[in-house]
Amino acid sequence: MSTQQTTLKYIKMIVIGVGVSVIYPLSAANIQILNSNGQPLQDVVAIIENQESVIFDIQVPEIIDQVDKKFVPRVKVIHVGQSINFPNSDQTRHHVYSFSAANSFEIKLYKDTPANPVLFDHAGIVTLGCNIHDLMIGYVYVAKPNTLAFVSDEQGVILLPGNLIMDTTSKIMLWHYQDGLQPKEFQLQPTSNTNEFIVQMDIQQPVQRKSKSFGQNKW
Amino acid sequence: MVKLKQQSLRTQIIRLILVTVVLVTFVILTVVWVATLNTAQNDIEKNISLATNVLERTINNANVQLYKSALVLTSDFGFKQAVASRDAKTIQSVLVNHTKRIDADLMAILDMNGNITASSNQLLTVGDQFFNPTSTIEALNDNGGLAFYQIENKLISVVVSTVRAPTPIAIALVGFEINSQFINELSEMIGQDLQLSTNFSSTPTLWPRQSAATNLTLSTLTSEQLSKASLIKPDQITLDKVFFNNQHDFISNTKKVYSELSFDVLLTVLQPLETVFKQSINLLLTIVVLAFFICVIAIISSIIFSKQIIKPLMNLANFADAIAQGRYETLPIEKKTTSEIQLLTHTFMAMQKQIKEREDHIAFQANHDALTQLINQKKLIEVLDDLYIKQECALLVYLKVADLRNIFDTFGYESGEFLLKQVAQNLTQLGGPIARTSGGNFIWVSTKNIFEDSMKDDQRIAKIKTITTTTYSVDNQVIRPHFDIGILQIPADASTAISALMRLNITIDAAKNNAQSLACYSLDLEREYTRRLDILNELKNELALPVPIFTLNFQPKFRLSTMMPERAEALIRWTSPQLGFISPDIFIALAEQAGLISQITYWVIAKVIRQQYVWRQNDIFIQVAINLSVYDIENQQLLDFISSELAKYDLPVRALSFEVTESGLMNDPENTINLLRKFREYGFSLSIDDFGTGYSSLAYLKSMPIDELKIDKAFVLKLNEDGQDQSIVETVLSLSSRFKLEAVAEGIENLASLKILKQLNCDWAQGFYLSRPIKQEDFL
Repeated sequence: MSTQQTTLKYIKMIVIGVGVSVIYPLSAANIQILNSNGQPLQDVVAIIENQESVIFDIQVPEIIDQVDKKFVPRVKVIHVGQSINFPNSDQTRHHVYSFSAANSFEIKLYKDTPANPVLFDHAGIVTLGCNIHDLMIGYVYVAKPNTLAFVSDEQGVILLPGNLIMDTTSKIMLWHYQDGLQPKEFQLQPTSNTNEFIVQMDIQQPVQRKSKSFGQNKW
Repeated sequence: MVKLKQQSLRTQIIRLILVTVVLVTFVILTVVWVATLNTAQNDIEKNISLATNVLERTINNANVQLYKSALVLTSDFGFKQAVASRDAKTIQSVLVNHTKRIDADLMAILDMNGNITASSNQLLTVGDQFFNPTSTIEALNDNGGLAFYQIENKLISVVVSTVRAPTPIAIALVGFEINSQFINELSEMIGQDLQLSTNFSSTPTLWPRQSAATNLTLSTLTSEQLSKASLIKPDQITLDKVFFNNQHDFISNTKKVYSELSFDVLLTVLQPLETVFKQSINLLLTIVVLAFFICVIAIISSIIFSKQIIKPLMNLANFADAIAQGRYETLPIEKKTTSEIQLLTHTFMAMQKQIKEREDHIAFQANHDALTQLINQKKLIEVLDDLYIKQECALLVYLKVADLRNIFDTFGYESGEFLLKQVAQNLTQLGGPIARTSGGNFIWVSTKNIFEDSMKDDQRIAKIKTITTTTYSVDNQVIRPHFDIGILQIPADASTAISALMRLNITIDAAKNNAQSLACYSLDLEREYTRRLDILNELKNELALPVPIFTLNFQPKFRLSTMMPERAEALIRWTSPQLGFISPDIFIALAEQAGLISQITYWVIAKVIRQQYVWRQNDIFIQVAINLSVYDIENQQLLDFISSELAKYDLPVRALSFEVTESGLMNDPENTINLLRKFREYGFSLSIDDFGTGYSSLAYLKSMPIDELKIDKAFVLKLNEDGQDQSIVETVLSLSSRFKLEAVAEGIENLASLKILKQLNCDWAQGFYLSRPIKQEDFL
């Protein structure tokens, strides 16, 4: 569908949603993130700052697994002080590293060698790579303590908790790994449903990196 | 000997061959040159192209290697770590270390905006911007690449690649200087000179530390060579450059190996011109030398060849010249010659043979009579001349067919000619030269060996006669031609050929009148002949005079019954001062033959008439008889003359009478009769003179308008003695009386005869006994 048509469609939905939202009571809001083609955009980190009482457990490490030479999940959101475990479900070994300012570390993940979880005690974006597998990239967003952080799922939806009231005036910080290293502010776009919002980001389909070949002389 | 410019044909052959060889050589040279040039150009282009491609590939491969090396370098964990650390010193040391590791000439780290953050070489200064941000993004998208950079006066091959940790955190630059060593190695590989040069079309804006955008050249040639070198593209090669090249001429081909904005890197491959074309030039020179030798050989062979043609041709020319001059030599046959020349030679020889035959034929015809194939008069003279020169004796026998005219009239022209041919054949059997001079005239030259010396004249004559008495069969008729024969001996009777022939003519004339029809030459004959000629001449002269010195005598005719001289016959007498007395028999006959008789007759008539006039004055009336020849009778004007003269002197017709000889009358009887009738009409009486000696036809006799017969003196001279004469006279007198003619007897010598005549009743008498011819005075 073209952008115009999509917008038109969603404008219709918004109109319906407004009508409906009057009837139905408030429930858990969600945000639909779309890419520039209007398609659902996964792995978008949403940050809502200055929130009180953000609950997270620093005792239990989060998990980023290595499955099929990929980080699963690709984008993880944690809070400062949390740890992440890298279990390595692959048959091959991985040499995970990060040179990010937020956290520089490297873990050699061998089979049968359990690794310690890695503590993330600085806020910021941490890019994960594997020294053995160049295409293996993952991201950790370490949120500040009083920040709510979410990741959009495969449908590009961010489910907000029920007590969070959002409206079209609410501003939200979004970050996608293809779009620099700083979250950007976005405005929620209403839909037909009062609890549902849409944000469209100017991000192309995730670009596959070309294989390293000696291409043109010119650049 | 025919003279020729012998060089003409030879020169032409040589010229032709030379021109051909030169032309062919020129064409070959041109073709070879063009082909060589094309091939050379193609080869050069291919070579250079190949070299360029090889170099390009090589450079590319080297670059790939560089890139891979750089890639490995930038993938190194430690390197990544160092770069990610942002510790300048660390980065710097890593850079330096890794530069050494891969033997690069420089390494630099750029941030994602294209600014140099670290550099191993002072060529790149930290803080300078190397790329603009857009290029940086392209670099990131393209995973890097290769570029050439000219940094100050160094040509650097630069590999760019992103440092991913794992996302791009920096750009690594690895640079390798392209120096002479590199160029030399490449040059060795392709075996040709080459150079890399840079070309700035405008000053670039992002070049780090670019002092001035000067073009740089790296070359395998020395700087000295480079300064003098002149580079020529393969399609610019011309003939003069090939031949007049120097060591500084190079064929070159240039290819761009890198082009970016206003900066080009050019690869040029060079080949010295002289080496390239050395072989071609050698080839061309070889061709020229070969051509020269071919020319020499061609000249020699053409000389030999032309000899084969020229020599026989010259021989033929000389041969033709000999023929032209009437010499019939044999032609030497050349074996070593062309078939055409041989053919020509054979043709020439055939021609010579035919010319000779024709010449012989013409010569034969010139010397021989066409009808009988006997020699002609001209040749006869030559034969006789030859005999004279050789002082040989010969007998000339002139054989004349006397009645040839008759034979022609009787048997026809063709038969007559056939007869002559037969006669000639017969005569040929006599041996020796036989000539036919004209008509039926044959002259036989019998040289010594025909007759033996011991033979007498008679025997010889007898032999000749036997030959001439054969008969011939023509048209199934037998003819025996009548021959007059004249004989003459040389050199006895004549001293030259011409005089011999002339004397033969005289002899044959004598033979004609001879009873035997044969005469031998004698001086007398000649004399007679000469005399006759003289007489004739004198006669002519006399007649030409206004008053000829002829005299007229009158012989009286006596009437037997009265014995009175009542008539007279006019007789002309001529005594020439030179020649003396000349008998009328002779000169009248000559005059008749020469056609002078009418002049004489006129004179006689005129004289007689005058005399009559004088007599009349004196009362003497005597009829005078005048002799007329046949020619006179035929003269139309004679009668008129006579009558006018008579009238002039007032004389009657009967003053004159005319006598014509019997043989004269019978010559052409019918015509004569008519003519005489005219005389008769005038009133003149006419007599037949010398009756009995001619061949008179009695039939004509009766129609002749004559009055009188005059019996020939032959019968009267011995009348008294000869009984036969008497019988004849008697018969004649009887005849005349029957015909009512008067008779006159001529030549009475004695009384006895006179008496007889009287007895026989002859009317008139004339003779010496009675009276000799006397002058007119005596009549008085």
